[in-house]
Amino acid sequence: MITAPLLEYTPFLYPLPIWERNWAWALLLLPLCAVVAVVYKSIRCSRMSRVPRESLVLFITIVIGMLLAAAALAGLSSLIG
Amino acid sequence: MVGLCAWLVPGGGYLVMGQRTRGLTIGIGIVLLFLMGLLIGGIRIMDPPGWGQYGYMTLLFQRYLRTSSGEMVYSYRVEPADQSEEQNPHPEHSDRELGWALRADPLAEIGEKPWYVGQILCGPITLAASAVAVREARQGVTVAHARSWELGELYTAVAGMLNLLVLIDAVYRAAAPSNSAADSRKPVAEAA
Repeated sequence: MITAPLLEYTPFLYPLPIWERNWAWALLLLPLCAVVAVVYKSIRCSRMSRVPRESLVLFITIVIGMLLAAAALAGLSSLIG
Repeated sequence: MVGLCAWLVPGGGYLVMGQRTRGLTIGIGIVLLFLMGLLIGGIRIMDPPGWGQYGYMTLLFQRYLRTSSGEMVYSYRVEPADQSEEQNPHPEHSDRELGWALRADPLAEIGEKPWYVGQILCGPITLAASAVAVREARQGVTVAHARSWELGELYTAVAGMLNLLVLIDAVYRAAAPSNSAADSRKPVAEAA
């Protein structure tokens, strides 16, 4: 049982205790993809009004791409293993 | 001027050119990404070259060895654990002190921590966070490991790389014959 790190946890000083839940770290990739999509589309789009829609499409594309890559790698690793 | 503003404040290059919405969207996005990196990995994910794991200046030494094939010279780094060791690191008598590692061999020192190249592109926010990280390291705050460290580094380095992209675009737009001409260029994403 890991309780000491939680008691000592101070935001921005100590790491986020994501090791408490094994799947939590994967969800932290979503904000990264969202910001990359928004910033990239803010650069590429001539009109800022197009950014929300375009970045949403890019965000979904990145997430689907990552899921497919993860599935392919998981399949490959189970084949080898 | 635009390039300098873009490095000093993420999105600042667009603000100087009067593109407020674009500048704010990009600036808030990049700063948010950087802060999220610090939140996930803790302040010690900022690991500036030239400072060791205990927050003191890394020193470089040179040692001469006599081998059967002749004389050999090699350099090694010392990361002092406290201030007294920083001032007097007690090397062997024959070892030659080259001084602060970042000054004596900057490329090798930066090569030890290549992720900092991405982080520094975020501008002075990185320098401020690094100063806090060095101070906290001296207080005994430990470095994150595994996923926390990876994600924290990823967030802060990606924030810096995005700022480089933004800086290049802002300079390109500013250098174009007229800003309106640069704004009206047909983006690849829209053309596709």
